[in-house]
Formats: sequence, C-alpha cells, structure tokens
Amino acid sequence: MNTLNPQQWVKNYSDQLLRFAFLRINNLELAKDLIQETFLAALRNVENYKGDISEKNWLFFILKNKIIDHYRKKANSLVTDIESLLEKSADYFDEVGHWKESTLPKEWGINYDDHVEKEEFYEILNSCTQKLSELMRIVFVMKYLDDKESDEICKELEITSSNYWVIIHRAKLQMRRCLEKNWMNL
Amino acid sequence: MILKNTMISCESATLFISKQEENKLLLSDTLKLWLHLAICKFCRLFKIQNEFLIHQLQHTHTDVSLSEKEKVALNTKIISEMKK
Repeated sequence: MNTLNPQQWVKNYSDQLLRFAFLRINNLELAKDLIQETFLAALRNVENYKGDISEKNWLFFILKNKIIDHYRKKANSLVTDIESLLEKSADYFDEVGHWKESTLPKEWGINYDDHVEKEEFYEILNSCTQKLSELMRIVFVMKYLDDKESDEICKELEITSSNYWVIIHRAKLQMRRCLEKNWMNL
Repeated sequence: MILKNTMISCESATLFISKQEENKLLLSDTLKLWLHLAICKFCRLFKIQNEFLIHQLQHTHTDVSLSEKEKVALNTKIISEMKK
C-alpha cells in the first residue's frame, strides 16, 4: 500500500515534474505554474488517493491531465490556423507536388541507425521543436514524446483526423529541414 | 492511364509515410508509396531521416529546475494548504 507524504513532494518530485511539463509546453513560467497547480490539486484530492499507484505516478497523472487541459484550450483557439498550414506546403513542394529545389532532402552522411548523444544535438532538436507553430508543436509532442495514437490525439484536442494529418505532415517537413539546416549545416 | 493513377507526388508520398508509420495507410496507397520510394531517392531520404529524428526524439531531455528559493516557497505553500 502506497502512502502520501506531501511535505516531501517538492524535494522528491518538483524537478522531475517540471522537466516533464517544460518539454511539453515550452514555457518555463507556465510549467512552474502547472507544477504548483498539480501539488495543490493533489492536496485537494488526498481523500481520493487509493494507494493503488505510487505517489509519484499519481502526481504525474494529475500533471498530465493539466497539460492536456492546457493543450485543449490552445488547440481550440489555434485550429483556425490550419488554413495557413495548408498554404505552407508551397514552402516545400511545387504546384505538381514535387520537392522544390531549395528543400530537396540532402544526404546527411551519417549512419542513421546510430544514436546521437551529443548535448549540442539535443539543443538543436529542442530549438527546432520550439520553432514549430504552437498547434504543430502540441500535436508533434503528443505524438512523439508521449507516443499517443492519432485517434487519441484527435479526441483529446478535439480536432478532425484530416486536420491531424495536415498538422503532423507539416511538422515533420519542418523538423527535418530545421535539423538539416542547423545541425548538418546543409 | 494505369501508370498515371499509380504515380504519386512527393507531397503525397511524404504524407503517406506518416500514415504508414501509424498503420493508417490503405493497401492500395501502400503499393503506390512503395513504387514511389523505389524511384525517388529524395523521399527515401525523407523517410529514413524522419525515422532517425523520431528515434532521437524519444531521448530528448532538459535540465531545467526550480531554484532553492522557489522550492522553499512551494513547500511552504503546500504545508500551509495542508493546515486548512
């Protein structure tokens, strides 16, 4: 049986929770607010804690719900941007759908099976994620950081599946190009 | 005519790659994608580079943290809430 020990929450979990939130919402102040809200919500719900999951998992569960609430609010207001995303395909493809000369994928000269551990690489990767428009970033993060199914993402964000594909497609085009430019300097 | 219907653009191919990754690509489109990838090295690069990117993303991390001052303040807040 697990028990709760709120006096130790900050010491034991605040940084882990903060890092989790920051990678997902890309705003440090907001991430800090969400951590505080998580702890306070947890305190209000102490009586509902059954002890069937660990204290840590329970706090993460609350935080995840807070992040989804935040996403949903954002996604509702951002879905109107989808039209501009559709136009953006002109950044990558010509009128018949071929790669434009300027965005043709280039050979990176690496072994793609290798795992890159350099800190510099992750800094660039994070900065590329941050350059995505907010809606693209949210969908991209839910898909690839949280490994969610597209159906689940559509449901949680209240977006249609055709919009989902437009968003994820554009996000990947932009991420690949950003990495090529900033990491490979190509 | 058959050929025309079978040939997809790079724009479609890159979209199909995403759908395939999530097992949401129809069989007929899977064949079209396969054919396209067989002849288009740029879309092959797109596919392999994306797989690399996604794999790396799973290991993404950050080292942000609360300052000691923020931790003390937050802990004080929790303790005062508990007394309510």
